[in-house]
Amino acid sequence: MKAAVSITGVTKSYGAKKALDDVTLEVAAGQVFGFLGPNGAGKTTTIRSLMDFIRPDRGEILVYDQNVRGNPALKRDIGFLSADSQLRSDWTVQTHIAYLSGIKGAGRSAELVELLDLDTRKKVGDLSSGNRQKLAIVLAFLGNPKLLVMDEPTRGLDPLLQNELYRLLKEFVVGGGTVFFSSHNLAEVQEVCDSVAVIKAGKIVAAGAMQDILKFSTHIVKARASRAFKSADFKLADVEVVAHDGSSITLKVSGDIDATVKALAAYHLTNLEVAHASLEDTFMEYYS
Amino acid sequence: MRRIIWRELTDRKWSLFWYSFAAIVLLWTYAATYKSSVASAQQLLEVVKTYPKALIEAFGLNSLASPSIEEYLNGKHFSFLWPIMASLLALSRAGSQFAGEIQDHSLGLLLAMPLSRIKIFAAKYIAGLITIAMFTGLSTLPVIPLANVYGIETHPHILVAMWILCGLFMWTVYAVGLLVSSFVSHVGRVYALGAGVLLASYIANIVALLNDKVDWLKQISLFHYFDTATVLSTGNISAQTVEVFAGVIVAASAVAAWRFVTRDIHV
Repeated sequence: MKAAVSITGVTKSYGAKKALDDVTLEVAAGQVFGFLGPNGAGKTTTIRSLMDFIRPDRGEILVYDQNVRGNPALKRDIGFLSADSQLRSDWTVQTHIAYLSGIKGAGRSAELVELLDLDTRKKVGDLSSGNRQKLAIVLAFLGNPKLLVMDEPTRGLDPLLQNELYRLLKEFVVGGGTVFFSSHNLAEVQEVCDSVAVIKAGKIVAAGAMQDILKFSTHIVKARASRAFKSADFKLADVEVVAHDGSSITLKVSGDIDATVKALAAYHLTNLEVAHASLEDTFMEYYS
Repeated sequence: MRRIIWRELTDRKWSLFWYSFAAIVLLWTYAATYKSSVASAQQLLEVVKTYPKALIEAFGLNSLASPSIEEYLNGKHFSFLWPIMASLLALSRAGSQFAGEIQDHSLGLLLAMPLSRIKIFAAKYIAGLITIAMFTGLSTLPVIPLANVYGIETHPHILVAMWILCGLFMWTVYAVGLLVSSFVSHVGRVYALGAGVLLASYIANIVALLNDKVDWLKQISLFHYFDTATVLSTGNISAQTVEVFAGVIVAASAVAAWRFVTRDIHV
């Protein structure tokens, strides 16, 4: 599949501190890509580099096979939503839309203003944080972009509007677009994204399709038997006994689950639950 | 680019309006009081003669008994109050256009658009120049109709020359302000550094006038070249003044543009 975004060996330092350390990742076209990491991990630096706001010391960033550096025409294809509000508090909603539409094209702005129920006459300074975020979303869609770069787009939105945004993003991807989506909300990344990358201290520590990331993650196994479990039976590689109370046991299994199932087979089980760890559990593993 | 220029001018129209309004009101006041002031100037001159030479030159007091309204305005307005107003407006404009918009992240709106940074810089710069042309025009040329109301003769060629000199001075301050604004990300630093440079420049000129041993100091002061007394009495701007102001403008603007195009912008 053709890459919408290709980041290769990007390094950025501020003095002695490496904000990005040889970051390499690829986002296939037609996907919602989730970019995860806590504050200070390098998410925003990566996104600012992708938008050519800051220039990496080394490496290359391509969007649809074109280098982003010094290539403003490429931004005709990119819609951007920043984690920090870039809106002018002294401008009205309409001023923002009219001014920037004049440069990039209106795209779906009128439709989105109606859909998100934005009062265009109001000054941004008088808007709630949720309404400001709605405006930022409308501006990101200006000019019918092919790639949306969104840094925490659901911040300040109520659950209904979050769902509306997820719907918009899915619709955008179905229409051939690509979304580069950073978020702290792991549940929403798990719901919306097709692929994901985790960044830690400026380095990519995991990247791949959402299903692959979750497949190799931890399983939580809860079993109940007709007789008491022996802890010694579960002293296996990558298995941790989380809770043991006579005939019930909870195990945390990292990686392959086969040996655990065989150990459990020695008992007459009355109940068995196997759950994939959530993306949040996986994420915490990378950071533990 | 026209959209950005127009947006810049629209956003900042009120500061231009109030500065220009204040300048016109001051000119009107001077025109209204000109005749009575000249009548009583002889007495004042006797007092002024006892002042140090540097003080007289620095504040344009040697034109108190001026035969023309232009020379009268030098002492009252152009040698001291006008440069302060112009510097404040130029520095606030330069500071808010780049450092201010980086500080509040709003520059990100334009950076995310399909526009090259040099185009963004040029559009803002042109808007700044239009502001300078309007303010300097509105703070010099209205002398002609205002003086006419009071039956005072004016010399339009002198006032046009003064407009040009004021324009060069304000453009220079603006270019220095932009230079600072292109390096920093906080508008307060532009004001502090810009005002610091201007104050140091002003003090250098005063010190040079007070002490012949450091006469060379005046060569590095913008205020030495902002020779309002000569221009308002003769209508001539020296070639040296034009060269120095043009040199600073070109150098400061070029470095500011280079820096803005190449720097990291955290928005």
